[in-house]
Parts: sequence; structure tokens; C-alpha cells
Amino acid sequence: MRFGIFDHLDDGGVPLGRLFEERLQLIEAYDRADFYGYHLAEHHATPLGYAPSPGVFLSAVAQRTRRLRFGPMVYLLPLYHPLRLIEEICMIDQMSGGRFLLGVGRGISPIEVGFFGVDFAHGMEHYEEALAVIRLGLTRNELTYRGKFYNFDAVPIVLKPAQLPHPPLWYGISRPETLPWAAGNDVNLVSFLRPMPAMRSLVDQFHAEWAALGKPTKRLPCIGVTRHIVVAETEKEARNIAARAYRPWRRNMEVLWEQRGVPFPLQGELADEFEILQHHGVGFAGTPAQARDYVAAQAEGSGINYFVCDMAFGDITFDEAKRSVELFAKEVMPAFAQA
Amino acid sequence: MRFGIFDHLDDSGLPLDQHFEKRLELIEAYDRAGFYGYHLAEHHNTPLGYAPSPSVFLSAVAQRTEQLRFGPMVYLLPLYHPLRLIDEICMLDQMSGGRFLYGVGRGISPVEVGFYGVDFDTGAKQFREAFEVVRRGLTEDRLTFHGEFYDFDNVPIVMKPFQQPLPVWYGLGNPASVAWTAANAANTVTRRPPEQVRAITDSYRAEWKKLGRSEADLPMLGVNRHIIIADTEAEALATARRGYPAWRHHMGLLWHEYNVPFPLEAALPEDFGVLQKHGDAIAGTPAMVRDYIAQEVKATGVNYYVCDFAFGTISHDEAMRSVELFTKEVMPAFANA
Repeated sequence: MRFGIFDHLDDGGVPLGRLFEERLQLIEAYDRADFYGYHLAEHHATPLGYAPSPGVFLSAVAQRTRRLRFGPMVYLLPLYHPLRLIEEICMIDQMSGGRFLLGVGRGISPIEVGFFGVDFAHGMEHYEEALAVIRLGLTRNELTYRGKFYNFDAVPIVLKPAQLPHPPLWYGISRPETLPWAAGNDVNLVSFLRPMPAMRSLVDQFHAEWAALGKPTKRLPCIGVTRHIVVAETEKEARNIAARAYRPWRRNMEVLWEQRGVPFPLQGELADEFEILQHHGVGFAGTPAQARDYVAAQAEGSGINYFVCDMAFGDITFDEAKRSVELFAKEVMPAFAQA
Repeated sequence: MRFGIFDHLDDSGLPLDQHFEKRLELIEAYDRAGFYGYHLAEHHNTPLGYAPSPSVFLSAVAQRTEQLRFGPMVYLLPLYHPLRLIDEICMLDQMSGGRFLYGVGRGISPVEVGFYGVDFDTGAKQFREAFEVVRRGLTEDRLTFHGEFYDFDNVPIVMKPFQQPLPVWYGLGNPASVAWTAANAANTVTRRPPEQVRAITDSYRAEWKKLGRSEADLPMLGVNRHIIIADTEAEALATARRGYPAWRHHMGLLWHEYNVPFPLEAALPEDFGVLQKHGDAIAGTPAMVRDYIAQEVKATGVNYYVCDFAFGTISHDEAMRSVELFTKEVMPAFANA
């Protein structure tokens, strides 16, 4: 079992310069604790994401860490010029000695992609073309492509990533329809706050797709799920922190939809209070021993091989998050070292 | 007098990962030496520039340095989505405690901007629009703009840069752009021959005065020169002559490949010795470099001297030696100038 981190880098109520620096210090703690990957969201024009250009933040992460792999979860491909994205991926992968995890997606908010002039209705088609262009650009010395959204004619490509043929692909999965594509392309998967039974079904289908392609089990990509996690010495303390910190994050999730009068797609699904989230099993606040049991039950119940923690959300303070990470690293992760 | 650095980060022959790491180590030396600013070029699909996304490299620079200011020289504005650029600027300025130098331009290569689907002929117009969009985005809470190239309606802006206002920088080659730079209080860097630099600084100061602004507020007017220093003149010149041709080749490469006349063909000789004879570069002992700069500052009227120590196949050790000698034996002579 591997452990990872998912991060929105949402508004925490502290000045921006301090938010960035404290988050980088927390990421140093993830690195020391031997988390496998750090996955950073891309959001635009909203307090939900203060790393709207994840490449810029991740370049700082590369400098502050040694082993931790990292990447966007996910680059919203239709919002980039493909040439710049190819260049950026090569630079970051080279500057980190090949630690880049290439998360790709179409963007799930019509409002945010709309700010960039992208039509959400064509998002999937646009995304698929962009991904094809980027894979060509990362692996060829010259880029030629003719499509509906992109046209390139023998553009010289002078940079290459450190990981060949290209950094591993990651995808934030919400619909099982994407599984055949993921299995066929060795794509690692993370699902956002999916309840355990639904996750189990996704994992089983992925295993089946993988086996159907005749690919060996030991080469199965990471398939993981995110969970909000707060660990403290006492259950009461952990629950208090989680209850308080969750509310501003929950608010940040919804705010842009509300401002624009567009129904929030997770309304009714995403708990209003952390207590309910925890009751549904998709969040956890408690002691290290309870966390160990929780992770064990989640892993067994869902069949995942990658457990992705969201330890810094809303107005959780640096000290609170750091304490969670330290306790998790010392008292939870070792129990899964051989699993 | 302040000193700065200009860097193409062009191909040096090193593997890319080492090239980046060694350059970051050199930039740490610039930081320790007390250079004011590090200015990084943006080029695309050419060995002339291995930081095609300068923001990504500069974010690493922010982590590796403490005092050094830094920025693109220049962001090719028409090649960016303005919203993303606003975000990147805010992030970099906040992540560095306000050390970002916002360099802007239109892109001087029709080949490179063409790869991005930008029409060079309308580039200047698009640049002006993009500059205005970004200016609003950096200062207002909602972005509304209706233009020929960009259209934004009430987009929420949730991040602000650390510095208000953000210093603007411009690579000034064309004397016709002086009025625009002065009106926007832009700091400038040019790499023209000395007499043309003098014409530019005179014209900038005249514009500045005409605008009723005080001499004390005059922006930085810089000149950029290739500099190699060693213990002996022979060694410095040999290093420069060996390192320069690769950089010169990178400068003209895409233009030649695409059969577009290279505008600097005549201005950039093939040999460093000739460049030096024209007064556009120096390779020599610390004392020679001191005299060269003193004379050039007097001749050109600049208040910012921008060195290019690492170009072509100049090795890391050679560049480090230049920086070391420059810091110890050249910079102190200008401390009060």
C-alpha cells in the first residue's frame, strides 16, 4: 500500500505569502514521511485553489523535496497551449530528476473553463485532442498534428522529459466509462471522496479491464481514493479541528457555483459538516490507533493500492496539519509497510 | 549603480537536468554577490532557450535565493492566456516576498510566435491589449475587458501580487518604443552598441522630464553585455572565443532554418574578438573589466549594468570564476556611483 496527498491549496484565511510558505513546509514533512505522491488541484478564479498554475507551485515543490513525486491533479488540458504545457512538463520533470506525475483532465467546472473561453460542451473532445498532442510532443523530435482544435506543422521539439517515454499519466476518475482507456494506457487513477462500496466496484472493474488486456497484476497502476484526514492525540481534539476546518473548505468548494447561479453538482452528495462526512466513511478525524483501523478497513473494503490523504483544507492551521502528518507517518503508515 | 544578470539559458552541451541544476547554483552565486536582478529570456522550440516557460524556472529561483530579484526578460504576452499569466505573476511575487520583476514584450521572432499560432504582424497590437488586460487583472477585483483579441466579463480575481505596483521591465531595442516605456515607467534593458544606447537613455530621460516626473524616480535604464573574467587576459579571451560561437549559432538557428532574415546578422559577429572590438562585450582581467564598465557607463548614460556570464559552452566553473572576480574586484568600484 502506498500513501499519497491530495491538495486544493484553498484559502486558509492567512496571507497568501504565508499560505505558500507554510504549505511548502508541510510538503517537506510529506517528503520526510515518505509519502509517494503529492497531487495538486488546478482551479481558477476561486478561493478553492491558490495554485491556478500548478506548474509554478510544483517547481518550488521540486526544490524543497528529495524523494516525493508530485504533479497536478489535474492539468486542465483545454486551458493550456499544448506547446507551453509540453515545455513545462519537460522542465519540471528534468528539474526534479524524474519525479513528475502527469495528471490530466478536462476540467469539471463549466464556469472555470468558461473564464478561459473554453466551451464546456466540447470539453471532452478538446481534452482528448490536447492529450494526443501532448503525448506526441513529449515523445517526438518534431510535432505535426491536424485536428479540430489544434494544428501543428513540423514544430521542432528541443526538450525531453527525464522519464521516458513520458512521465506516468494520472487521472481523476469519476465515471467507470473511463476505465478501459485508463487500463489500456497504464493510467494511474485517483477518485475524489468516493464512498467505499462504489470504490470497490471501480477497483474491481479496473482489475478486470487490466486482466482482460493480459497485463500482469504486479504492474497494476496506482488506484486510489482521497480522504480528508485529521489525526490528533485525542479523538475529541481531532474532531474539533476537523469540524472547524472543514466548513471553510466546503464553502470554497461551492462558492463560485453559487456566485454564478449554477447548481453545484456535489450538492446533497458532499456533506455540509465533517461529522456527516466521517459518518459516511469518506473523512476521518481521530487518534492514531483509530486512524490505523480506519485505513485498514478502507483498504480492505475498497481494494485500493493507493490511499490519498487530504490533510490541509479550509482553515486548518500549519501546526494542526503538521501534527496530523507526524502522527500519521509514525503510527499509521508503518502498519501498512508490507501490505 | 546596480548590476544585473541576463540569461538565455541556452544549450550548453550538458544534459538538461545538470544544465538546470548548475545554472541554479550559479544563480545562488549571483544572489550572494548582491546582484539586483536576474532576467531570464523566453524562447520556444530552439536550443537558444531552455526555459520556454520562464515562470517554472523562476519559481525554482525564488526557492534558491534570498535577496535577488528576478523575472522574465520578457514574457511574450501574446503567447499567454492573460488569466494564467495574472495567476503566475501573483504566485511568483507572493512566493518570493515581492521579488518579481515583470518583464513584458511582444516576441521578436515571427518563427517562434508562429509556432504558437500568433500572427507576428498583429503582435504589437495584441501585446498592447494583453498588457492592459494583465494590468487590470493585477490591480482590480473583477476583470472586464472587451477588445479585439481578448474578451472578459466580470471574471473574479482572487489573488493579488505582493508588490503594488509591480515593477514593469521592457527589452528596449527600438528607439520608437521609448515613449511607451517612459509613459508606463518601465525599466529597460538594451543590448545595442554604445552610441545607440546613449540615444535611447537620452531620449528616455527627455520623455521622463516631459512627463513632469522627477529625476529621483527615474526607472532603471540598463545595458546588457557578455562578460568573461579570468586572471589573465589571454585566458579570458580564449574562454570567451570558445564559448561564444555556440550561443551565436543558437541566436540565428531558427531564422536560418525557416529562411527568415535574422535581424541581428550584422550586429552579431561570428567571433567574440570582433564583438569585443565593436565595444559590445569584454573578456579580460578584473582591472580591464572595471575600466570597460566605467567608460561604458559614462558613454551610455545607463544606471543599470546587466551581465551575461553564462552563454554557449561557457562551463559552470568558468562562469563561477567570472562571477567571483566580478564580485570581488569590479562591483566594489561602483558601490557609490
